[in-house]
Amino acid sequence: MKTLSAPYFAAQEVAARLRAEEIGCDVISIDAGNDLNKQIADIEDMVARGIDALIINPRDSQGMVPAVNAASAQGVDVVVIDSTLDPTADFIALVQSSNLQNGMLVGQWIADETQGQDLKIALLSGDQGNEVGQERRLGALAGLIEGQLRNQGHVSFEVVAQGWGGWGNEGGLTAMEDILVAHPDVNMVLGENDSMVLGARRALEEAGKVDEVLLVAAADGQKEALEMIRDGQYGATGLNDPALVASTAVDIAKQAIDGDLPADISKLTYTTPTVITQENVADFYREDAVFQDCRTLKPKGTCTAGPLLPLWLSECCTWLPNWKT
Amino acid sequence: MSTNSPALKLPSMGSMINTYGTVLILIVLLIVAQAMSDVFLTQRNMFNILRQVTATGLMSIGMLLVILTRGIDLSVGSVAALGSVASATFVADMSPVMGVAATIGLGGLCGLASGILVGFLRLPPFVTTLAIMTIARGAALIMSQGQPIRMGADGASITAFGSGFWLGVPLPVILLIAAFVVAAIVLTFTRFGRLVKAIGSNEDAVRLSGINVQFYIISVYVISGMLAAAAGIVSTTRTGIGSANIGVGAELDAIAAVVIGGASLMGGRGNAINTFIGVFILGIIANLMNLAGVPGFYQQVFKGGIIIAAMLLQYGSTLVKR
Repeated sequence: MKTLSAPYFAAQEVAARLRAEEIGCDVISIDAGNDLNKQIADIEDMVARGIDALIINPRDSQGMVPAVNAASAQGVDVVVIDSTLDPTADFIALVQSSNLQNGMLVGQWIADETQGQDLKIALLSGDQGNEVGQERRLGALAGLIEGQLRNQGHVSFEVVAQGWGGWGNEGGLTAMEDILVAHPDVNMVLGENDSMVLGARRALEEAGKVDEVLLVAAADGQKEALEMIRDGQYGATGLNDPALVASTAVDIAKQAIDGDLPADISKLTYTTPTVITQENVADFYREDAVFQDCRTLKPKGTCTAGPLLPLWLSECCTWLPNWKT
Repeated sequence: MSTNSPALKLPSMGSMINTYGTVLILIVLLIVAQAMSDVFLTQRNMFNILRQVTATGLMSIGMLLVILTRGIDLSVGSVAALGSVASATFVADMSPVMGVAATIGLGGLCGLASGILVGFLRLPPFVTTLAIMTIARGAALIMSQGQPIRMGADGASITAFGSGFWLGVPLPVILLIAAFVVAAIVLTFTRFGRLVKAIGSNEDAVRLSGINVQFYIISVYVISGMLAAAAGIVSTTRTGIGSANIGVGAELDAIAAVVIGGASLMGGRGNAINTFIGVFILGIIANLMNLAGVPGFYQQVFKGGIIIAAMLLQYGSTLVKR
């Protein structure tokens, strides 16, 4: 894993580990701490320990290529998840949810929902130069353009500001406070993930504007956001289920180890893009999902903990979502 | 250009800038900011900025104390993350007051560890607090399982603080100003404050005069840890969520604030008021980027540029004199 210090990636790790244990594999998991060089060393160490398959969330799309090629050359089956790796590298499959297509669906939903309105959008971006963030916002804006063209034959919306929220709650809150000062007439927030939009919502609450502003995120489907979508307090978000990506990758790796892999497997596997709205939120909301917050539930069962898995994390895993494969 | 009557000598330009450099930078920045955005100097925006810098401000007080002893505390950002997670966790199990006290105590323990290693065992502060930094971050991740901790109804009393007002002033801002007032009084008027500065200027002299230097060094790290945990609590009260991911790089902002405030990394020189202005300056820079709509990639360059300009104003005078 490139890093475990974000809920999304932590959930991915737990999901991969549980799926692997379920189908009878031993798992070694290493956190690269967002450090490219450490991840390269991690792979070398793992290959030296004699692994059969490697599931990697690469820190860098180019930088990890030599290490992945070296692992494949040693006979390891490599499956890449989530972050993009240069397709010329030697790996079996890349499994990710399509940020662009999720964004498109979100954008089209916005267009349908806001027909006839004069949209003044505050855009909340993660960090500068992040490819995923760029795909998400461009997807959503492209979808909005496409939707407006379809609905009304012309495009009219304004992005009044781009705030940088660093993917977190607090960053979204701060950026939104500043944007509200400069642009008090904002009537929609479009964020590149749910956390930032949830933070922005607090800023809107404090400014007494929470009812006037439509909240939309291009991705994730975090539990808090889903609850608010259900209650009509939050517009929509794109589905980016870390558990689904991880468990799909584990299954592909297992097939590869057993030699059951279809010969025509596509090197690039996308999970189905989906926009979550009030209409379909019930299909995605799970009381017990990991990329959410299992701390609010008390442990009620046991679960095999790997040696590297912190105890608390293992207590958590009884509430993993049902696998959708 | 020398005058023959020293009694009439005005303070030189250099020493003026030295003393009031930080204030000067603030004034220049305020003027520039108002020119760039006409909503900048509104009361609401000022309170926004102060509220946004509360966490950095609390950390920078502890950092100032540590830097005065010629130390450095790189762990504050991670300890703040631990404080954020711990406060959100504790509030579910105990009263808000106890939860806050326990969290600050936990931060104090982190500081105590740094303090003992640095003050008692004489390890270099840079690497020691770097180690505590990774330990505290790891502890925060373990405690939170890498997930944001929502406080739900239990946390209502805490979040009321983050978004609350007293006499029209946001509560976090009152806390920030009160903390700086206390720090200024302690540093200027108490034996503790004077000794902390003296240790940074000449530790051997202080030791030879029979003062227990180790006690004071350990104390400043403990205070720094407690304030960092408090900064984490403030973050939790603002977002309603305990997160292990806050405060990444916050130690660098705290150090920058202290240095922009004219403190010397070689110890012994610095004061609380200027550090407060340093914190405010950093807050203005970040706020202005959003207000004026500076494009993303340029924001970081501008931020660095403004910090360098501030440093030149601060230290340029000393260079001119040479």
